[in-house]
Parts: sequence; structure tokens; C-alpha cells
Amino acid sequence: MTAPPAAPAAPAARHRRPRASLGARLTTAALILATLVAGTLIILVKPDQARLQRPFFVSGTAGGPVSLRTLTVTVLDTAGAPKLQTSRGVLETTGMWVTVRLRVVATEEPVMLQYARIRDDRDRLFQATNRVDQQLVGGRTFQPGIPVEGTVVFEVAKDARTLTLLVSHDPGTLNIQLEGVAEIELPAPAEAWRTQEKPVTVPSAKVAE
Amino acid sequence: MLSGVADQGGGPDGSAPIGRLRATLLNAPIRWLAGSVAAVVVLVSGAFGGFDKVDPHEAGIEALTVDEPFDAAAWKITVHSVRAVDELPPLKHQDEQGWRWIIVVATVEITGYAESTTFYEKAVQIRGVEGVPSKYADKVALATDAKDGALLGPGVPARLGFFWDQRAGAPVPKELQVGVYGMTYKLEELSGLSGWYPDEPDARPRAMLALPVDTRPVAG
Repeated sequence: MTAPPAAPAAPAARHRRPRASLGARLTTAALILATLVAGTLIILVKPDQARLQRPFFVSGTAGGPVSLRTLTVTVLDTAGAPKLQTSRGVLETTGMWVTVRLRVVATEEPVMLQYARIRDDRDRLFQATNRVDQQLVGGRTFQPGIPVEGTVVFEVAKDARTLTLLVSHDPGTLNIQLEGVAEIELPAPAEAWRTQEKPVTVPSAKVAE
Repeated sequence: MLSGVADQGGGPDGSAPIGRLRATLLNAPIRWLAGSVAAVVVLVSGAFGGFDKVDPHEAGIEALTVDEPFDAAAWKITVHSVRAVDELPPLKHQDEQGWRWIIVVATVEITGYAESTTFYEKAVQIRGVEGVPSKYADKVALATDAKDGALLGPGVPARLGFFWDQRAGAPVPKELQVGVYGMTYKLEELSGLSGWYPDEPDARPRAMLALPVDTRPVAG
């Protein structure tokens, strides 16, 4: 006996998702849009990396001590001219030599003064020059409680009008993120310095009384 | 099939070689075909000057003019001359003997908002000089006091010598291609630090100039 031929299979019932109503779809779109707008606003409002890790500027004036966490700095004197008298002769520049006499005292532990810049009225930054041996910046370790007086030499643009000294002990990473930075406006008669015939000199560093 | 209208042409006798060629082409590996096409392209390109030496000025690089400043992003460069001398005290070669100096004399001024730097040492480069192993200048010295690697502040132009060691056994080039390269001082958002950044790795020069090499001794 043979089995009767199988009846043709009925077409499978098609599964259909229930169609979302127009209101539900609009609500979904509005929620997505709101999320995107909120995300954008958070990104815009959130402080960026530069702001989060900015240095702590401590402002001061020439002649008065400015205290940071690790050291105290006092600007004693400033001078400027197109020529600089060094032990090896007179150095010339197309800019202007600026010398800043400082008193530095480490407060708690031995520190070095690694960061020294002059910022001008156009936010240009001038590092302490490497054309001469620096007395205070880079190589000298300041012992706590022993004040040292010395000169930092800068080579700045001739058209700089106002000069601000920035000094920090710098933890060694050559950036001053999250560090204290002394910010001292210098008495800088730049116009007179530009035409100064006599070279500026660099007196020796010494341990202060 | 209509005789004489066969797609392999001719009659039975004449159709065999073309048929084999067609079959060979159709059965050839794709790499073989691609290689053949590439060979044809190279040959045609060569016939129309594809192998000619490229003049950098024609390749979209600006031309420099001697003694005229060129603005290359954060600095202005003025190329003055090119010299070749054996010795120029107090500068010293990497070894005591067996080298001569190839010198590009240029004035560099850092412009705009920036910080003192020594990165300008990469601003002037030479290429393809026999016996010169270094891409960047071996020394960059101030013309005024021969200070090597002086920090240059913004707005303080300096006349500099860019010094390359060339092996003394190599011929002195009659002419040298000098390229000026750019860099930018900007705030890097990820680190939050301002710094100097090159155009891009192995960027092309922003401008070039062919200069004759002056071999006269330097006046003492």
C-alpha cells in the first residue's frame, strides 16, 4: 500500500510587527534629538583639558615677594638694552636683552627653577635665553631657607610693550600643568631700553643676607 | 553559424590561432591581465614624459626668491646663499677629518603668537646631496656669535648658518635644492598643552629654490 500523496503545504503565516502609531514614532524621534542636543551641550559646557590642568597663577608686583607652594620669588631689579655685556664679550641681538634680578627662596625642600618665561602684550612667550649661562634657571638647586639673588637673562622682541615674568619650579616634565606659577608684571620702559647705548650687565649671583 | 561571419573570423583553417588567443585571454589569471594593463600604462606614460625628472616648482611647490622672506606658517625664512667650505672654526665636524661643510645661510623669524624654540632647525632642508648623510642640519649656528642651537624667540629675527657635514670624498655640488618647511605653534586639545607641530610626517617643502654653491674661501 502506498501512502496518499501529501497535500501541498499551506503558505506560512507572515509575521508582522504591529505598526507603531505616529505619536509613538514622533516621541522616539524627539527623545533621540533631545539626547543629541543634551550631549552637545555637555561637551560645550564641560571644561576642556587645558582648563582642567591649567597652572595656578599667583600674581604679584616687582619688589614684593610672591609665594608659591615650593618657593618664594621677589623681583629686585630689571634692565634692558640691545647689547649684553658677558664675560666673553658683548652680545648683540635684533631684539632686546632684558635682565631680571631675582631673589629666590625654597620653602620646604630643595628645588630648581626650571620654568622662566617673559610674556609680552601679544601673549608671545620668551624663554630664558640659552645664549648665556643662566645663574638661576636650570642648573642651580635652591636649598630651603637660603635666599639666593641672581639674574635671569631674556632675549625679547624689540616691539614688546609690556612684559610679565612667569616663574615656576617645574616638577621636571617641562610643562606647568597644575603647578603654581608666579606672574609678576615688570617695570619695563621698553622704549628707553631699545635706544640704550650702554650694554646691560649681569652681576654675579650670591647668597643673600 | 554562417560561414564567413564567424566570430573567430575566416574558415576553419584560419580560426584556430585566434581562438586559442581568445581562450588564453579568457582563461588568464586576473593578475596576469592586470600586470599587462599596468605595463601598457607605464609604457604610454613613459612615451609622454612620465619618466622625466620632476621640477619641484611644477609639482605645486612655491618658488623661493633669494633674499626675499617666505612665510612658512609660524616662521618667515629668507634664504641668502649656499656655501661649501672645509673648515669654519669654532664649529667642529662630527669627526676631526674627512668632512666638509655645506652651509645654507638664512634668516629666520618666528612670527605671531608663539614661544621660543629651536625647532626652526628643521625649517631648512636639503635633499639628494652625495656624501651628506643627515636629513636635518647637523648644526645651526647664529651668524653673530656661532652659538649652536640658540633659542629663538618670536619677533627676534636671526641670521643663521645651517651646517651639513659632507664627506670630503664626495664632489661639491654645483647647485643645491633648498627646501623651506613649515611648523605651527598651537594648543593641542588632547593634552591641553601648547607646542610646535610639523605640517605632517614627511611633508613636502612649502617652497624650494635651486642655488649655486659658492666655494670661495670665507673671508677671515
